[in-house]
Amino acid sequence: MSTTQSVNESIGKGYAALGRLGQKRIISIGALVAVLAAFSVIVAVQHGFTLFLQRIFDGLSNGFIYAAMAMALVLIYKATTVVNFAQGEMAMFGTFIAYVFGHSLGIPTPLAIILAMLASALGAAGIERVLIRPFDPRNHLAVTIVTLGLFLILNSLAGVIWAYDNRAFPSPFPGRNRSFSVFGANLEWANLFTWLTVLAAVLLVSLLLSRTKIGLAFRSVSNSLESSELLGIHIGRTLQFGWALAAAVGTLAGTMIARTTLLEPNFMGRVLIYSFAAATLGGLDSLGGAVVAGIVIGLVQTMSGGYIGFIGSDLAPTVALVVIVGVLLVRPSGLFGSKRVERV
Amino acid sequence: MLHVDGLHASYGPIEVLHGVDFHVDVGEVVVILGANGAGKTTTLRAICQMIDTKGSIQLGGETINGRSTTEIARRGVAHVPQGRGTLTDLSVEDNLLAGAYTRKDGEVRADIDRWFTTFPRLQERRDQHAGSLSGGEQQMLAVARALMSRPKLLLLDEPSLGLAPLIVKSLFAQFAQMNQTDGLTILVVEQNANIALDIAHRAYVLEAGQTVLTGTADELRHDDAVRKAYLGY
Amino acid sequence: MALVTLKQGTPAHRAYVVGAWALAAIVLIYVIFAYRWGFAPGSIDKAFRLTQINDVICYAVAILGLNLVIGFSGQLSLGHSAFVGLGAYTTIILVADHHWSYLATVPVSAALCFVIGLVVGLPALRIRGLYLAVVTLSVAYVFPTLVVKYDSLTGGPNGKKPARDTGKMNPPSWMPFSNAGRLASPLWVYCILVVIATALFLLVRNFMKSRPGRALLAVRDNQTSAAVSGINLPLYKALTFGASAAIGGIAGSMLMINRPFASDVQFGLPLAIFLVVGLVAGGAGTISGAIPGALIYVFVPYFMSAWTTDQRGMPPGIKQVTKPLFDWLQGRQGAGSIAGVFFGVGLLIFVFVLPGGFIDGIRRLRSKVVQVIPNPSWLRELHGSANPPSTSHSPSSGGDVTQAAPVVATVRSRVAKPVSVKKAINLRGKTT
Repeated sequence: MSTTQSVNESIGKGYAALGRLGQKRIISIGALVAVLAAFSVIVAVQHGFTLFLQRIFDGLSNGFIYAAMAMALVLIYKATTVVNFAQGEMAMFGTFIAYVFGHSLGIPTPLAIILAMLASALGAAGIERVLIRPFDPRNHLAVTIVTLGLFLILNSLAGVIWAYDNRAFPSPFPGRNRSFSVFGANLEWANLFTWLTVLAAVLLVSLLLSRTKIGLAFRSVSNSLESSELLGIHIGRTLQFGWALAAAVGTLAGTMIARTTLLEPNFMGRVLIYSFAAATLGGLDSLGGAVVAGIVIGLVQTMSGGYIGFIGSDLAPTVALVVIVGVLLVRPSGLFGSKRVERV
Repeated sequence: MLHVDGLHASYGPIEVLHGVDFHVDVGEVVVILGANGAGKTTTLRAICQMIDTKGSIQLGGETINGRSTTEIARRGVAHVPQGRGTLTDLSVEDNLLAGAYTRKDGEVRADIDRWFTTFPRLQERRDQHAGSLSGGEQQMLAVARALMSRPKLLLLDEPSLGLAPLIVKSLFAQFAQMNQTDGLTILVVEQNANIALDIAHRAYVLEAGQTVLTGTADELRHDDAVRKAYLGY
Repeated sequence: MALVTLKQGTPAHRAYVVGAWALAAIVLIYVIFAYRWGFAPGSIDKAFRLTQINDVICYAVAILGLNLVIGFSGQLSLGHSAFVGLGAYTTIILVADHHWSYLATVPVSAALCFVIGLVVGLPALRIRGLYLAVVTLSVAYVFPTLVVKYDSLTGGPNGKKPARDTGKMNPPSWMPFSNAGRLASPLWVYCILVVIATALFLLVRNFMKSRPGRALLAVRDNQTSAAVSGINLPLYKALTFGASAAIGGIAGSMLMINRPFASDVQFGLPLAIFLVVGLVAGGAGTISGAIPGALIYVFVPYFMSAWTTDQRGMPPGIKQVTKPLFDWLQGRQGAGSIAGVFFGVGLLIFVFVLPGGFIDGIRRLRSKVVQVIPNPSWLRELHGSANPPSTSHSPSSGGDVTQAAPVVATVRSRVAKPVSVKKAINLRGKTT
């Protein structure tokens, strides 16, 4: 028994030591920035600045997508304190809807995307009403398993309807395949527009949350269920709003990345892993944190894959996993999250 | 306005209230006294249907058992819970706006200004997170937020808890004034019997989940048992 | 009220328990002789159907392992596909490249997965609930990418299988079916798998009744009050995660014994989620729930995709209802994945209607027929009769108490009920 105790104690001490590393937010952020900066300087000197800048651009293009997906995850986490494992598949389904609108009905792509966002918002509102609301919002495991069920249903249904062929998703932006040069590095117009679109979406969501009545209700509910009930706020409808908003943002992210990957029922799997990493790094309940961390993860993915030989593109998901585990061990509330994290 | 008859309430399998009867008329201040664990907080939670109840609770002549907490709040019951229940991540001003969530009229701004005048400390801190306020300030905020909904009935759960005596006095002076000038109906649960009886019209004594004594504030103040148990002289 | 009421410890109750075990043994043995003598129903390829039954055994073991983590210690792991895959690749690599015999690789898989599980499980002490789910889901996603990355070892996307006769499973001559032709090998595999699986099921069952097992249940049901009662066992939790991974690894090895072929797509995220589906459908927190869970996992997709091309095998009655659906599916390219939709819908139905899973449903039905009145052995010992005392017994001396105490502990462990997913979390959700 004493061996058990000493092992237990040493495990505890180890965690305490790890925890102390990440206790101060400023120090954690500072350490992260320092590591990234040092790495940037080294590789920029070694391999040339143009290549470095090119990789920054590539990384940003991925990073903004992860930022949008992470934002969707955080929206649902804030509302229901549940990680929506079906978020990626909802985005995939929404992207397919946009594809059908554009391809089969001949609607111009930007309009098709907006319509698909509306459709997925409606769909998510329905899902919330039928599948999520019957459960006590405090019953996290049941809700999590429901999201797993949704994952399966949406993924397989897309397979049944659209099969597993790769489809090209049209770019919604003008200037197809045209790019311009910044200090010798190529930047596609479409990528620039993607960044701006995601930024606009982030701005819109934060305005929606800070300036509107439903946004106030959303913040109130995510702060305290009980107090919100006492204020006469309809909890169910507010959570429904969160689901709808998250689904719309997810669909936007899906259509933005489908342009560069290719569209098939599993295409969001990879994006979801990076978005998990981003949401964890940012702190699951911080919208701003999710956006910043999404961009960081995009950069880390491109840089580590590009400059560190054995990682390449194959091991990039492993890097995401390492980031998730590392953050949770050292600073469980992420870089920007509030302290109350361990809920289940 | 509020009629409670034979109220039983339980947390899971454990029954806490075993027959509570009282009523609050329009324009009254009613206080419920009782020791720790007598069921005072549970009574207020039962009125808002935050727990399972049996027996009848009537609000304005209508039975409200089984309604949702949200709906009861929308019928004009504002509850200031023990521990204040402020929305700690929201700013002071957003807390007040959230208090007015159910209102559709255009006078929300004017009301915010009114409570800022009443509680100048809140105005100084209007952009701070509610979580960063001191206990007294949070209590003021909780009361102001509850009043933002322009309630018909205000439920106060131990508003004096953890506050300095001076703050308690000014807070209760505010309650008395609101009752007199605005005709606000108040049901307050208190352990600080002295100050609560000062502003109350009538009072009830709760013991082990049952109402055991009732009368006007003066009657209770001069009741020997109450004096010994709750007033301390 | 139940039709039959049995008192624990009476001869009737003993006969009931022995009878149930005997029935299970007869069913298991029946399979061998049914195939040997041609009793097997239907006109399908017998060797193929037997291989499917063997699959069920393997996946039942995998679900059993997952249950240790989800059902018994209440942590949501979505990464067990990786452990199953690790076990499978360990076996296939050792057999194909190093010419081991299959059985010799099983302990190696178990040990390897145990160590890796421990490494994943140590952070799990600190990472609870949702975070653990996120981490393990990422593990499940990453595993196939690692398989592809190290393709010189694993065969990558082309898969890996041993040369034709390496370590082939042929029954020894003393077995009654050694000359059963094509059926001989799968029948022998069946026997081996049944033995391994039975051993593991008994092991887990006894573990859950042991001291650390009960500590785990306490931690699952209420972390805070368990800690307050002095149960704070990071080591046990990590060991449980390791053991669960080891069982997953053995399941992987068993899969390879049955079908010696491994590829990256077999052990990806879908398997991880399907294992959770099987677990919830069978009954989280029940040991026997792994079997219905595995049956569903193996046979539902099989029949679903069979029916999308040929509806003749469909049971009458169901056929009329689902005809439009399968007509629509017929000839569609992705029709096979309709099983995934059914799994998802089934998972939702279980969470909504029968959160205790299949086994909970069976137990409810059974309680209408047979009811067992508890009459624990320590009471019987104290009174020297099979009748429970009419008044409560208070021990007369201190010596009595110390004697009774360990027995009380075993009795209490029998009360462990299947956990409904809803309840388990309601109890634990309040900690911050």
